[in-house]
Amino acid sequence: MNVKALLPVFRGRYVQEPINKERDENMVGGIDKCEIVLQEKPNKGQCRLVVKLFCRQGIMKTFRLQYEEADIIHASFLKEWAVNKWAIRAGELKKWMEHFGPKTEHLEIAADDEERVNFTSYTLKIIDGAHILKTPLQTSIELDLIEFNEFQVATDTSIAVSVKDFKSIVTHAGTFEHVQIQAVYGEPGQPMQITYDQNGMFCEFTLMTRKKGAAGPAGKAEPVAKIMSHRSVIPGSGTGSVARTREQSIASRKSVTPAVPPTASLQPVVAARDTSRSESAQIEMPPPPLRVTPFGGSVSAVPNSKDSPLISGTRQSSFATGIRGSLQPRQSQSLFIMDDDDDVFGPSPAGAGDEQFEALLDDLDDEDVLGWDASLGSERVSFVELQERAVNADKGKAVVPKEKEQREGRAEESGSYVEATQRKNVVRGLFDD
Amino acid sequence: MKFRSDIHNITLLSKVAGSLSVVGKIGWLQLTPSHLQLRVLSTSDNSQSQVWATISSSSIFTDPKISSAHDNIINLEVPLDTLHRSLKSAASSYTSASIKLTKKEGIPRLSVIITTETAASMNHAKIVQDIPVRVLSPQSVAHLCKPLVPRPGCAVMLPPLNQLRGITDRYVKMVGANGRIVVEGNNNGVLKMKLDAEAVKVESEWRGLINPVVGEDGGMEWEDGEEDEEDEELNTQEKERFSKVMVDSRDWAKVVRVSAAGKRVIAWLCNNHSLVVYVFLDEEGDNQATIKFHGGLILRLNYYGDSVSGFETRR
Repeated sequence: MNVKALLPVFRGRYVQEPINKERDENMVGGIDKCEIVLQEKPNKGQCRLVVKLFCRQGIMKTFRLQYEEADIIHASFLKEWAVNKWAIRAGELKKWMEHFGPKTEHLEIAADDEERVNFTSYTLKIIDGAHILKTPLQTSIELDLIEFNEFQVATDTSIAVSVKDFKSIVTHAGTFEHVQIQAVYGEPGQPMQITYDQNGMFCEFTLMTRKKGAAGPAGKAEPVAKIMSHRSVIPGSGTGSVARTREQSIASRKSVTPAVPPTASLQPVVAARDTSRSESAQIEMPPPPLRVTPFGGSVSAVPNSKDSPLISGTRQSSFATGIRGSLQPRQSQSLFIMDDDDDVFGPSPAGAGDEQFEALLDDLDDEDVLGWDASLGSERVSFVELQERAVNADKGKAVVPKEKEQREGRAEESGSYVEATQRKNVVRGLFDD
Repeated sequence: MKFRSDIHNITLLSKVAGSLSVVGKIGWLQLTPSHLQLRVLSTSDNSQSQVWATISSSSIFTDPKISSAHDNIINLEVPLDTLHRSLKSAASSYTSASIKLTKKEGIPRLSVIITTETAASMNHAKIVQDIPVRVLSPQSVAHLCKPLVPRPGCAVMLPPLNQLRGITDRYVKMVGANGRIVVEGNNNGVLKMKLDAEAVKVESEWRGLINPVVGEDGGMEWEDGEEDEEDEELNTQEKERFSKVMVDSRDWAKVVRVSAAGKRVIAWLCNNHSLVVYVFLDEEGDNQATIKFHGGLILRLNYYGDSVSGFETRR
């Protein structure tokens, strides 16, 4: 659903503390109740979210918003990895974040020693002499650990996230008076999760992280990019109504942004944002059936063996479009890269070990990455099936990591590998004859 | 080349940078042991307005240490909005601040280091803002000097700036971005603003403004021409005579915006030649010595016409 369409419905209807009492009460108190109904018409493609505001004097305002059923991408996050943890009052952090200019891309969070922590913004854009003055303002803030309500970070841990995302999260959290922001993360390259909780609204963001390059901000940082996705809520795994509400609620999928800097490697940031207001908890609807949308399917079908021919470049990768990205078409020369490590991502989920996966990632990230949707000749269990299997056969949590791994693997694979194109050879052969 | 100093008046520096960023994106910052000078050229294509801001070193810096191979003068090109941004966020709450010239990742930078007290624990937090700069050689700036203007026909203190700004904005709307606005003033305390657009003709007049004596304040310079320089009392007729300049509407709007930072704004009208606006960032009551260098911004707007080329050569 388009968030921009939903926003005006509720805009201005929530006043935390009435300033102008009369006006605010009119605004908020004028509404007796609010009814939200989902009208699901899967076949006709005319799903509607109907918001009815019952106001005083019998006025009823009805908003019909179009929505489309989609596979919600949710960045996966393994709590076990997240050994580092800190918490700080949101207002405080927001104040610090205001010092950061709008132009830098990355924010490094480093715990230098046991007393201070450093927030540094930097850019990876290489700026040549002529535009040296356009170098963005580089800001560094050193804070005492006392500022944090909680701080458990391994020494010398330095992790970098996107400034823009981090700043908007903090700004949002900072609008609530006494909210505490909690960030948990593991090694650089593993996702960071930021959470806060206010009046029944639970916000959870998963950010992609990276290491700061040894060569310094101007140099090329070691890219660690991951696209990880699995369904946020598997039926049965959630915690009752809360989970369900989260699923249905205004889930603004914030951004899945493939990195644009041409010099750097793919830097997609998968930020998922679930907002659920306690008010909306009254809606008791079953979670929408897990349906595999074209998007979900697209990530999947990747040929698994070197033998399987693949028409590269003939189909627009819906993987790319699915994540709303604008990935550049891969350079033609890289179409012919041989894929040796393919069986790492074999049909058996167990095959895709994390370490291998990590190692692979590091190797791959040196190039711009583009996913191809090539479903020809795939003898592998398709992603669609996998997902269905995961959902139907075993709804327990145990499936999740496996499935996730697979998806990670596949997503990454489809994002990074282009296999040898025998088709092309055939074509060439024709001309030779 | 070294520069390092504590800043005791971050607000003033921030204000100057902010005002000047209205006029242009990049400024030329000259640091000398005694003063700091910022000069900006207007970014719009068809205007040649310039801003020169001179601030005494002591009004911003404490104990500056500056050294270079060229008479301890350092010339830098500075992105003004970045400079302004780096100072603005800290201007309200800082306990101490310093600035130094560094080089990071091969890019020379002005590092503003600000320590501020945190609300929660009253501990110190350190904020470092790195502003990219480009070092200019003395040769490349040697030809840059304040443009000289003939003795102004009229000097007038501008009316309250919020009022002037409101009116100017309306003028700009009526005449468009690159229209011409005529500014006239005489020595009898009258200032007129006129525009003659296609559909409308407007004139505003202020009376009873103060006419300061030209050159009364330090830091104001003009070219001693061959004209008579007698400082006799002007007779009534001469007092009534208007000096007229024509300015670009957008430039004029900028000048008015920049001037809003000042406490006292004096405009010189050099008939059919140029408009010079002096902005003093402090109150009139301050002693002269301070005023002399204390944040005098000089804004120049050209008259559009025959004398433009003449003005060019003087730069």
